[in-house]
Amino acid sequence: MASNLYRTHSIPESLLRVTRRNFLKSSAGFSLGAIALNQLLHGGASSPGEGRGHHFAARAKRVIYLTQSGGPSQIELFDHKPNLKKWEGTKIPDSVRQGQRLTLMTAGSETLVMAARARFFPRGQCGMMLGEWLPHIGSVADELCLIKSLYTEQINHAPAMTFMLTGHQLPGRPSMGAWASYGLGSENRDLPDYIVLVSKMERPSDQPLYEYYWGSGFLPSKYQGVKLRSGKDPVLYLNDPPGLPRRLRQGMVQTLGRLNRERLRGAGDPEIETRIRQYEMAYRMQTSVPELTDLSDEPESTFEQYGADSRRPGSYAANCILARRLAERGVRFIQLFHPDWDHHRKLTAWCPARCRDTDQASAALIRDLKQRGLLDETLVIWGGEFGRTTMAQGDLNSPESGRDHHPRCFSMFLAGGGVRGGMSHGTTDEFSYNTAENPVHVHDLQATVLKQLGIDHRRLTYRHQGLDFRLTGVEEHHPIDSILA
Amino acid sequence: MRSSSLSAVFLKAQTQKRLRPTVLAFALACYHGLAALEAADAVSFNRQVRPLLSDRCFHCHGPDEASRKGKLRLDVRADAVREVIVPGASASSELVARITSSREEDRMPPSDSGVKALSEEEILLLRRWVDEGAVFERHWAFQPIRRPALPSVTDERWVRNPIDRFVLARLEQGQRGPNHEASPRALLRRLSLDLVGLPPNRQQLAGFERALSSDSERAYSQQVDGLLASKRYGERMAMVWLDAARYADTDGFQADATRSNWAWRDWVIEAYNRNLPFDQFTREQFSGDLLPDATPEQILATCFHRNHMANGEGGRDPEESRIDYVIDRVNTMGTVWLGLTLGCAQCHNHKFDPVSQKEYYQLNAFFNSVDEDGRAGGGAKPFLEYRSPFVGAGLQEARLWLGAKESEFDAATRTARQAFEDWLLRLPEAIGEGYRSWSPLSFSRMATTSESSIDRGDDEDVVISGVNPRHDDYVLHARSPGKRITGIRLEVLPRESGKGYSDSEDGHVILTNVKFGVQSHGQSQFEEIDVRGARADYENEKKGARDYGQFRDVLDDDPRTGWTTNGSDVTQPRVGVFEFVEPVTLDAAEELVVELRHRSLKGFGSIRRLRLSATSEAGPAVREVGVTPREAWASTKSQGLPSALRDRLWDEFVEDQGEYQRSRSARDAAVDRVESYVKANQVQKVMVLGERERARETHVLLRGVWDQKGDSVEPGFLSLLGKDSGGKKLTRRELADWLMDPENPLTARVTVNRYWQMYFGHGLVRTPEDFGRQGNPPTHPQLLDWLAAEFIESGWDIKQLQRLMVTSATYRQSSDASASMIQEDPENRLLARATRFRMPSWMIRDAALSTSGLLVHRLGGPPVYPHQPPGLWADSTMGRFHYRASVGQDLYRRSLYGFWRRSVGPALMFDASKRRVCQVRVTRTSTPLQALTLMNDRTFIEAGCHMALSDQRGGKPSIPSLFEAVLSRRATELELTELNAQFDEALSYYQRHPEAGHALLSGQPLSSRVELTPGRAALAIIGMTLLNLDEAITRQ
Repeated sequence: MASNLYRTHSIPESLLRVTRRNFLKSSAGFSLGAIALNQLLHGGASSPGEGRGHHFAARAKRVIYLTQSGGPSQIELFDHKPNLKKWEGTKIPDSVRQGQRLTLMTAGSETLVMAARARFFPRGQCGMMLGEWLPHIGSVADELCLIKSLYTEQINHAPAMTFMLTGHQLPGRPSMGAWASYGLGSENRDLPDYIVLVSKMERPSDQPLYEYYWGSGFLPSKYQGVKLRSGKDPVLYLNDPPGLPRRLRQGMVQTLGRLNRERLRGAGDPEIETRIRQYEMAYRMQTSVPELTDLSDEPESTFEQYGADSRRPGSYAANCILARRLAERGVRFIQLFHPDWDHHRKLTAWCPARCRDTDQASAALIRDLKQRGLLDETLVIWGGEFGRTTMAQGDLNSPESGRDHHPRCFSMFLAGGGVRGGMSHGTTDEFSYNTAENPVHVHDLQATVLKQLGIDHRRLTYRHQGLDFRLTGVEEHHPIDSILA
Repeated sequence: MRSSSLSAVFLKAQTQKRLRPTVLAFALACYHGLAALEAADAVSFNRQVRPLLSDRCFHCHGPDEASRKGKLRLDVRADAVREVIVPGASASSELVARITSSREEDRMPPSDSGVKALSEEEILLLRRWVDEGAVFERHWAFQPIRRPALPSVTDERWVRNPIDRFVLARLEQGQRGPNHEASPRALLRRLSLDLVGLPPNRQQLAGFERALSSDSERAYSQQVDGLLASKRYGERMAMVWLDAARYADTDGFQADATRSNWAWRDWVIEAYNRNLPFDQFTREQFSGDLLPDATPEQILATCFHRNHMANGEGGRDPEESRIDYVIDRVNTMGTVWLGLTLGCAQCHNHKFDPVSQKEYYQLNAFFNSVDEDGRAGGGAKPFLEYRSPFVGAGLQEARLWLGAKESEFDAATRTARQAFEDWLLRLPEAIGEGYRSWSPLSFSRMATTSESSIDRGDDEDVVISGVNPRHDDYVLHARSPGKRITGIRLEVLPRESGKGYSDSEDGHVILTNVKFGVQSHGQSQFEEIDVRGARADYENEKKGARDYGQFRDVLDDDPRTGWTTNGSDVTQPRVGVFEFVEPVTLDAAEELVVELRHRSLKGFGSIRRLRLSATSEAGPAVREVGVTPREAWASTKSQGLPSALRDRLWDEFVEDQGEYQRSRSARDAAVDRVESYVKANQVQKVMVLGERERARETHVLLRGVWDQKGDSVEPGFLSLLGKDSGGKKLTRRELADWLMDPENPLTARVTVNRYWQMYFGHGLVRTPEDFGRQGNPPTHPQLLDWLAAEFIESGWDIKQLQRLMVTSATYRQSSDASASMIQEDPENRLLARATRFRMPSWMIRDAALSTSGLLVHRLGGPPVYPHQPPGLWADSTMGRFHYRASVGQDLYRRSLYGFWRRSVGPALMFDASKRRVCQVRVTRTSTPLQALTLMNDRTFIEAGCHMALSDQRGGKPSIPSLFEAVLSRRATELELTELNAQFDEALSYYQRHPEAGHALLSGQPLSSRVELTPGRAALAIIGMTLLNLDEAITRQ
């Protein structure tokens, strides 16, 4: 945990400073204070702060969340409904629809059932039925835990994504990664705890990816996700200006440290000590981040594994390689965003195109983590903010047709991190319209993710505006224990 | 540790016989530290018991009926006493039995409730409270404000005004005393930062020191008056109000359309500067449009309640958005005026404070009939057509700037013209008969992503054959060392078979994306080459945004768009050209990578025969398809140079003329700026309040869901604050009157507290947004009430209130603290010293601009665009928005005027409010990213350099004066030694590398006027170091 570098939240600085001094005095450091401090500074799992930290043994040390923004179609990709063909072109029974709200895009027009436009095949030893548009992901089916019975409360993108990531539909709450960082801290003293990678495109995405998706909400800003940008300045302000060499920068940071320490003697403010450390970490990041993002030490086989796109910095595939490197460096929460899964139109062409962008690299990442022995301790999540309707949007016989947003059921998959592989959890009705067995609310999924990290979602709270907030809201929700190994 | 085990012992003892209060007090004192001061008194319901009950019990046993368990409520004494409390007898009270029960299923709060268990000390407290009679008090903040008597103190000499009596009385109670007074320089720096948001300059410091030595009291109060009268005062106050008002220049959400509400920001500055009393300030912002004979400025003021976000997302019901806006207004009012978390009552009765869901929607009713319909952007009526009086000065400066840039451009043009003539004379030697601008590339590696084959043809072309897959990408690697490449030409060639360009049914091509890159030997990734534009000799109009036709669409990474040859004659070659942003020159170890993607939604249509060529010529050659200027001249050389061709050659020539290009884009930017000022100088549409003709019916929304309507309600006030409508029809005017009613116990306390927070680091109530039962009680309740009463009686005079605060002895204390002071009171709750805290990021920037001399003082006007890392907006919005930094003086205006895009806030505003919803609490964190920002943001680098460039001497002797400029004090010997050493190190580096010093200092406002010596570069390093010192960014 990087508490030496960050302002410690739970322990008053004054105490920390005193113990720090004791610690420095007796480098053997066996006093109680010194041990506690040592854990704060260096320990990971063993040093929960007050009201935070590991409530039980963690199965996963970190999370890689492959966020597919826009709402991938469960009907073509994951939720196999062979019988849907016989309903093709008919109105969905009202008993199934139950007055579900539609977006204004299809509300008011008559919509008809459109069976899956992709074929399904059994994949892996487990024989999981998966759509043909994700062939590479199919090849790691035995690692996947496919959840088919997710449901959400929101039908438009921004509220639904906000709900998925922060547990609430309106902006202003901390994102899951910020909660994880707040609860657990980092295992790496040279990198932030929560790192975000967004696929680079030369055009606006169909749905914006708001910065608050990885924001810290009301948590202190040190917990917010840090977006790594592709290119020469991967973290904002990382590069020194032209004409300022590294050696001089080092001298400046040292001078700052000495002058600040001198001021500390007079002012007595422990914040000064924190500031000195932040400058030292900033200086170290100027080296550690470029080392991280420079892939020239990766062998050619890596790029073959992750696909041709991985040769282009900023692509989803290249970001998958970075995700693995971040995992190796112990970053707590790594989140990728890939946009444009919103297939209202031209589903049969546009959805496979998105699959193609992400399929090989997503599968390669899972396989790569496994080969390196990291998959057991890394929870991989793949999915979007909601699903898509069984009914076609537009003429269902035309290649122009697509599917509208659907909150009542959708699919995501998990891999590694103490989750059972080669299994499916939950079912939907005949139409992939409502959840049937084992429905999973978004908050249940969030509780599961936290549990794997060793956090009790009910106990990881933060007081704001007089209330103790938590990721999973006020209603009762539970981790999905049956999918845990 | 020790104290809690002691308490445990006492708890045990207590089960045998009741302890004497003094012993109990001792136990509590050990645990609570500061609380020990009051521990000898009776238990305070408001301070000690209610927060506990509220936190652990009220959720299920509080005001909200719906979530109440076991029909028990503990927030009303009658109910509690009837059911579970026997006053004076804890042993027979069910309440105590349940919180101490050893049976887990009986014990409260339940272990599975998520509520924190009661500690032993807390149980002890509740027991004592019951034994002392279970006295209930009305929650402190809901009690009327009564001006308390001034407490007497021992050390009368320390007291400068009544504030000090309250503070000192509390200190003396604990046998403590205040800290010594801060030095004159520290005081002036503090006053300046607090009142105008800028540090003092050296003359002001010297003058203040002098004046203090003669008549200190008068000098001090003159200084305060001077700062309060400064125009900069309103700017500093406005910055805080903008956070509370969630002001931004865009809507937020998907489209994030730009608003032109900045005239309201200037109204706020003016309101502070003319010391508009807070009640009038409130009335105008709530109901300026409803006032009789409302002036445009009074209507403008109501923009306060239109500063919420606006959602224009497609597929969203505008009515749902409209309801969101109404809710946002009520919640903002709750936070800013009432210090209540009203938002909790959106879905159910408030669980902690006596606010019912019905009352919440009665407040909504005040804002529910605004003549709006939930739309965003240009549809966000009602608007006020308003012309700002604050644009003229900016416009004038923009015009002067343009004049300067035009003459620079004219000079550069003249120079380039002369060079052009020389170039023209030499050019014929280079271009002989049959000259070709484009050289075909030959490829060392070629691959497709399908099973198709890719081979070299006989005519420097590339042929793809074999299977005809739905989608196919080609990746080609070419070596071309030493040659400059300004662009690439793609020729799509017909095949001899006559089958057209592709094997699709019609023989046409759909090319979806083209990428260029440079790959170094041994590297697996390639670096992308940025392409400025692309055009072809045949293009189609698109039928919609997502269609095939335009050649430039191959650059956009979107398979739904691209180029098609559809409709052209497939027996003729087709040609397209790409222009690189910067010319590329490969070295021997580098390859050019060209990637052609055919991933159309229709499928098929991959090019089967093509040729790729490169050119070194800039301008027309890569911007136009067909014969290049040089080719044209080569073929017509004998006939002289026609003027049209001469112009095209000029276009080519100037592409490589750096000074010409620089001055031209500077001129263009200056033109744009004048235009935008001219536009801002016209009538603007400002979002304001205005009632629709027929009022909307307001309903309670079940579970807070926008379309789940419950009972209908009329506008009404909160019963907890008393005063009903008297049966009158209520409007926003009456709402404002109710907020500002002297009998309203919240508004004055909440407002006074927010100003206190500005000058003392924290509020007297440390939860400035929550004065309800879940909020913190005040550290100095009597002082808070005294200030509130004073504020009301002064006629809500804001400057008077602030004057009172900053002239107190409490304020004038030093912030230096000994280890024991920090140990005893780490958060400075007793105010036995001044609080030391990091300045807000906007103030750090303004201070750096000010001390370096870059700051431009100009009040008001349209937003400006300070330096920001390039590509940040484009990156964060995926190309939806592009940021262009201001030019001229606008780069150095105060942060307050910086454009605020809600979806990507200003990069260097760390810890700032996100401006999504109202925020009144200050966030102060310390992170490495902040350190990077202050080290490398261009504004701070420029400020450091500007100090070095503007300094008379420009070398080591200047270090003391730079130090004084940044920190407002003189450097100590030790500090000077450190800085001198740092200077020497930098100097020796820049003497050995003068070009580095040049690079550091060039491009600054003064760098063309001063010699860029190693000494100045080293001094710039000192400037940057100083600006990054903890003390430079701290208010102390």
